[in-house]
Amino acid sequence: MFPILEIIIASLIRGSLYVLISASLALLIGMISVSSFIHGDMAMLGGYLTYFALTQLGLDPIIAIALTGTVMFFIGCIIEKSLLLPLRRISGKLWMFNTFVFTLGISQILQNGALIGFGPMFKGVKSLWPGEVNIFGTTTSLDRMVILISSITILILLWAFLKYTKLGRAVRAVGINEEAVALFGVNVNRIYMFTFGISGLLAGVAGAFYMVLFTTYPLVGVTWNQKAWIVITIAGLGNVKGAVYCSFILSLIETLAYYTLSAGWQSVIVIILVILILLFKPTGLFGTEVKGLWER
Amino acid sequence: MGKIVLLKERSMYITIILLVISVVIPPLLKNDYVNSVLVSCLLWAGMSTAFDLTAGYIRVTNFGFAGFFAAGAYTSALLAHYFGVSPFIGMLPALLVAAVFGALVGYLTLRVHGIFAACFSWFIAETLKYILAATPEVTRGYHGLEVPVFFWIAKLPYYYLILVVYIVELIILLKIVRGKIGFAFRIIGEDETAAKTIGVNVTYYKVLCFTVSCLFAGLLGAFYAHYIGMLTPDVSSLLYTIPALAICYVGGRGTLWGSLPSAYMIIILFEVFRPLWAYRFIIYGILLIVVMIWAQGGLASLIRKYIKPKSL
Repeated sequence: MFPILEIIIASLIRGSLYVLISASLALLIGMISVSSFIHGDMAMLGGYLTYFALTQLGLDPIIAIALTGTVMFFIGCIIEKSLLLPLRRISGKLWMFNTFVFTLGISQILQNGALIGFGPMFKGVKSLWPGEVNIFGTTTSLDRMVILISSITILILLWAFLKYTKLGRAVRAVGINEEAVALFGVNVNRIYMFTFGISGLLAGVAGAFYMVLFTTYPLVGVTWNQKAWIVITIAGLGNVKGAVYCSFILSLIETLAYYTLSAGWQSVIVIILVILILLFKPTGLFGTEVKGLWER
Repeated sequence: MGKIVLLKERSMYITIILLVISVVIPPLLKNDYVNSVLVSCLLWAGMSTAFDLTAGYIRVTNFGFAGFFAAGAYTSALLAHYFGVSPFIGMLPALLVAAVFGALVGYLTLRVHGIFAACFSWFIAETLKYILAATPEVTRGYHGLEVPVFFWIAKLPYYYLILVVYIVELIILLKIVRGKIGFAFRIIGEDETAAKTIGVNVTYYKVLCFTVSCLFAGLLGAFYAHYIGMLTPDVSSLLYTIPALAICYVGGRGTLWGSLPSAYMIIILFEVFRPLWAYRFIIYGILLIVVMIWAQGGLASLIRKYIKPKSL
């Protein structure tokens, strides 16, 4: 019998990992027009930070992940302030491509730095919340359920932040027209920094969750990065809401492919899907709703 | 990004001088190790020159460049492996496959914003990698496909082959770029709307540029396959795009001739300081960051500072 419920649960959990990282990437592209290549590596760093917080410092899991989020927020801020801001000053219309290539450079440094600093070994922890949950006769580990619920909570918090707080409104306004926002007296550079920090936080937490469920290793970011970009391309660049839907769609397709095809082919299937979508709707499924700065 | 120099410029002589030196050095030194270093210099110079055509002219950074390289490499290698086609003849289908592949990808993606072309060709390259890895019956996957080599003797014939390939590539690309087509490429890169306004068929020229660039990637891929003698699916990964990209950016985008001095500089640096080889991707990353923030013109603008180009 085809295990429908199992597939749905597995894809929800897979999707809850994708959704954080692709939302963070969509936030960057949509709001501050940075086509970032370092998200996977931010997730990798987040995974390592949580690993060290859990094993070396022996912290409580929740505190460890919160600490990781905070540190990743500041790392994101530092990267934006020290590296991307000087680039922003000199590049005009080529900004999108410049950030793409530029962050590729940063990602190479992070990946290979981690390879040298942390070694090529896989790092993981035993299950943090032992136990099992029974949903309509299908058992899942408690870890997975906690992660699913917490990533959905984080998404709701992000949405509330963007929608209701003053700072969140400023971030969205920068996404619409940064010059007008600057005229209203908002410090645009600070908004850039803050947005990059938030997306670093999301990516770091995603990496921490992945480390809890599976393992982390220096090149884990390569796959992450690719998955995030695939989601973003399907959703339409820079559409945060679309990215949320599409990461669950992608995870469902991938899980189905896992069940039906031999290993190695599911990535191919996904890309063929992306090709089809780009053929008929070049701007992505949700692309028409949001027009990024780079399109104007 | 500096002046646009349309006519012949004197600063290009530095590449010509380097090429002349390259012709003379190997027979004088008679050192196989030096020859192999020079082969990789010229291979990467050729790669980044082809890369430069899209990155510097129509301003589309092709992240899946290695995919087209791998397409060429595997085409020629599989033909030689299964049908015993001579590597010299195999270069032709390799180049055609890469060009057709490039034209398809370009036609699909270049109609929208260039960023789609960049990440889409990257997806394509990664997919190619997965397909190559998932069909071990044909490509032998990560066990490595053994490829018959061009010459069984020393590196010197390889060296002259790649030198000829590089010179032909450079001449063809410079001819394209300095003609009417090159003007179209340049104006599309500068301002697409303006190009449309004066009646340039933007999609056609973009796809043309992309295709020519991929064609040379395929040709160099075929050379690489028969030079190394062993292929794994990793040929199609970012690991092969990054050196081309970094060398192209360091050499100076939009010059074509800047890649050769930059390739010589970077690869000889790695050879001289052998321990750096382990950290090469970190160095490529640092070079990219430094070039993009402090020296957008790369080596070419540095050379132009001392050797002033003739005005129009």
